[in-house]
Amino acid sequence: MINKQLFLDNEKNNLPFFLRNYKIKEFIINGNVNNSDCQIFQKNTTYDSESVKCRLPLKPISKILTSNEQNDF
Amino acid sequence: MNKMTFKLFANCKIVIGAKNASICDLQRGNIYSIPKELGAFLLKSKNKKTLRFIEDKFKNDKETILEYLAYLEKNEIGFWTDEPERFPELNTEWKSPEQINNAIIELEKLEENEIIKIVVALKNLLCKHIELRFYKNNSLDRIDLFMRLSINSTIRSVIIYIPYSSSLILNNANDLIVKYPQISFIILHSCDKIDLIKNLNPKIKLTSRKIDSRHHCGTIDPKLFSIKLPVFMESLKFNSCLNKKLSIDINGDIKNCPSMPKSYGNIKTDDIETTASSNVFKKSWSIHKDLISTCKDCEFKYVCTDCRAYLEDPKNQLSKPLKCGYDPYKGVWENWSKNPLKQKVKEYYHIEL
Repeated sequence: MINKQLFLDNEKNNLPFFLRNYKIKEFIINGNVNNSDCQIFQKNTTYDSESVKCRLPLKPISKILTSNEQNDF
Repeated sequence: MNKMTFKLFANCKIVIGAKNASICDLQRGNIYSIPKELGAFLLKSKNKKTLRFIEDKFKNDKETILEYLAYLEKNEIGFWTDEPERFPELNTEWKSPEQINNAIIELEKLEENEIIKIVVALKNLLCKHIELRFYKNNSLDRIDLFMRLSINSTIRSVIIYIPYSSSLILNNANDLIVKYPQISFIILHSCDKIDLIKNLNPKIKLTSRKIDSRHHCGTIDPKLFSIKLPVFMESLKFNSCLNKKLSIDINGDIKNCPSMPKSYGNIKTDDIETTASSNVFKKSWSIHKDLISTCKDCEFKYVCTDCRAYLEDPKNQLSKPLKCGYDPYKGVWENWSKNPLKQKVKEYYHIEL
């Protein structure tokens, strides 16, 4: 018997970050676990933190760079 | 346009300043400057029948107000409805599970055992974001050790400032980025060969400026505004720079910010977690913008990320950031470093630009 939660968690880690704030509604297992797909995503309506959207902090940690330098970057 | 009430979307927040007001679209990350009078009108007419309210109180300005409302509707900041009660306000409560959210570490002179101690503490405090700084000498071994110890921790992003010494550093920086995906950026400062260097890894940034001391920090700039829902909510009650921040300076002193003089202990003698959890360390976390002179009258106060290290009046912890060139009473940005009133304070802090 496959542990559904474990399976979902593993799959979630394999998704690109921009898809991780989607709630997995349903998944289909074809044969063994390694060849399985997660299908049908439902947008998670709650606001999610940067943890799933992006690894960068929400605000600058420090304020060293000047406006011109930020333009160059 | 048959509907009676104009309502802003819940994620669009009005902030009234001394001269202007702003609407922060916290979902799209946009900020709109609007006349203060329009901001006051939108607040006063909230959940009322807008058209009737205009007829009763602002009959002479009806055309102008309707023009502004059409602009706001076009930019998807607000909408017309007959059922305003069905669109409640957002909860402004702010909570965060981590004890420390971000940390600045001046790694330049720290020993191996001290780096181990710091990483263990950051892990236990559930810290997410780190800035590592080197001003004069880079030590890639120290960065490698720090990053190696950080694997499988809560640390999600690491920004590293190192001086450019030779072209060899570019390869070494590239190797670090490949080896440790948590590294978001490596900023090579003091680089005099920017024009000659091509095809860089996009995570490596070059600047010719000499960032040779902590005095370079504290710039207040619209480009550093963070127009995001959690930051806005946090800023209502907490300091947007210091809240949940931990710093270890070049001597191992535990501080709120490396640029601030006050030290709460030293990693050689004190426990980092205990120090960071103490009430005295957390005291400055609650200096929110409505307590700070001038800033409390600024329309950008909840998206600006403040600075408590360099102040217009160094003796008053509630004074405006020194490196802010915005005057909310005139609504104009000026170059703060050329302001004659700030020259003496620059000397006080030994700031050279």
